[in-house]
Amino acid sequence: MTTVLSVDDVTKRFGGIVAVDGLDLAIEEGELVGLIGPNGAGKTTTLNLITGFLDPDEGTVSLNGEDVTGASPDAVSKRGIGRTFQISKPFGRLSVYENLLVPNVSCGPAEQEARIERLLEELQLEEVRENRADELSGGQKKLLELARVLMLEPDLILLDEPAAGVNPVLMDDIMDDIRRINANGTAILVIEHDMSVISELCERVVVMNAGRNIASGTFEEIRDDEKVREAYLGGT
Amino acid sequence: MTVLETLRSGIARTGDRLVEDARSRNGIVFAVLALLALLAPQLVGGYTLDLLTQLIIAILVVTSWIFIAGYFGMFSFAHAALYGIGAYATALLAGKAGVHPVLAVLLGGVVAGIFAIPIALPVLRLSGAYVGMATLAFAEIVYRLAIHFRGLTGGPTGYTGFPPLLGGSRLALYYFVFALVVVLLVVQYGLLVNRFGLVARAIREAPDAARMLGNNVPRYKLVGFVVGSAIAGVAGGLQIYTVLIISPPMIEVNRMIEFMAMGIIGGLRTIGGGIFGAVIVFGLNEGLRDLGELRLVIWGAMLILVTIYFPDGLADSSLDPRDRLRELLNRE
Ligand SMILES: Nc1ncnc2c1ncn2[C@@H]1O[C@H](COP(=O)(O)OP(=O)(O)OP(=O)(O)O)[C@@H](O)[C@H]1O
Ligand SMILES: [Mg+2]
Repeated sequence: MTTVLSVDDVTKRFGGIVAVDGLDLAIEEGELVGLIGPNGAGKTTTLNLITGFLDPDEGTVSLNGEDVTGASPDAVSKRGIGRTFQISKPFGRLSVYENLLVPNVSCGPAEQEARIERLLEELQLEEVRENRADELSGGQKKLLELARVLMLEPDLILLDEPAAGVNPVLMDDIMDDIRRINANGTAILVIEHDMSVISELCERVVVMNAGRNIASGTFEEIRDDEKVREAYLGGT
Repeated sequence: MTVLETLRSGIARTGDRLVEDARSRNGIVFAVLALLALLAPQLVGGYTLDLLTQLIIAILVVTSWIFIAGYFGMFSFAHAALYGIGAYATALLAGKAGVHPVLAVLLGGVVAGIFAIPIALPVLRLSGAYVGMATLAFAEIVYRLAIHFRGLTGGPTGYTGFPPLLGGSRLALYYFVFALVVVLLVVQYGLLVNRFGLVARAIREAPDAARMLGNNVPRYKLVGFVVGSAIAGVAGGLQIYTVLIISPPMIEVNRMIEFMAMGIIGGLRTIGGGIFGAVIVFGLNEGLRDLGELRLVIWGAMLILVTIYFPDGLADSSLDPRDRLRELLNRE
């Protein structure tokens, strides 16, 4: 197996707060990994460090073996990383269709068109294709963000809380979509507070607390881990 | 795709969109206005024709501000200053360096584009109100420098030592301005209906997402800011030939507020909004000239009415009262 993403001993401070503290994290090709941890554990900050929205104070981030520490988000995207945001960021006044034209694809216009049609169908956005993105429901916005990322056919997708604000019926669909995307060979890292989502989806789960990787294993393993219990009960 | 292919498909798309938009309500309004503008010299002359020339120039300034503020969401207060830099550059190049006036107008645009770079660099890193503050500071510095460097700019009383454009013919100037403005409107329109405009709008809505989808957002914003500013510089160069003087009042913050009022009243979502806004505000301004400072009150009232009843400006709102009422009642 080859390693798609490797975060090595990364630290990020905001003034006095150490948001990420000597973090190690690796994702292998085709894996579906869950990243959990209490509020403020540093999960979103970790995504920002991987995708170049923040520069680490210490440590390195590598993608497919290449050091990308300090690279810009667009450069990281070009290296095959897709990402959605904890708070959806649709292009509100653009139509759903126009939203899918924004990803800077490397293929030609015909292939781009074909991808858009396929994704509109697969992610059930066909009926709202001409609607403005800010008219969509919370769940549809998540689907649109996923579709936008898939336009780029990335090797690894980072999902920041895909279940937040989504109704349970649509969430089942989104989970099926995540499984299908992963089955096609795309590695996925999913941050989620909803443990049923994590336990159903992920073959491996990483637990963060206070900026550190405190446990890693199957859902059953980390559920029975003493350090994980302590972290969730508030003691650090 | 090669550069040539991109250019060719971009031009083809611009043509298609132009044909499509020409059939819309605004398209018809603009066609009628253009026809009237072409015939105007048969109907009016003298001072009125000069005013029309200035209106057409104002349209160019406002559309180029919409290019930056409406599409990218960079709410710049530096636009009137960059328009002024273009004006001073044109006047000095033509008056002191002996450059041909037509070339001086185009070079005025280049100079404004170059001066836009140092102000664009901080703007790329800022958002919201901070963009306003940084650009306002820049505008104030330009205004002070124009007054301070008397030897170069003529100081507070301005500079008049440049030759007229096209031999000083009012009619020739009018048609020259009209033609150049139409060309530059089409250039802006062409950029905005292609990928450049799509990414600009995406950046306005969610810059981080646009970036994470592989678009070099700082580069887009830099190009947008510089191109819009260069076009304002050309407008400044044209303006000095209608008033035959360049002086600091041309770049005061009041002028900026006037351009912004035009943009907001007309609508920031399309280039056409600049045409609506400039015609309405300019028309009112001239029509109500006798009222003096009271005009500011009328503008203020108009701005409030438009932002309440036509949040997308006049160009992008249906003018049917039933639609207006419906939208007002449905708003969250
Ligand atoms: N830009 C910032 N400036 C200052 N502090 C920050 C910044 N971003 C995050 N933090 C702090 O870093 C810590 C980690 O935040 P982060 O958002 O990464 O947590 P999280 O694990 O994603 O939490 P949640 O589950 O609530 O989303 C928190 O204490 C947060 O307040
Ligand atoms: Mg978070």
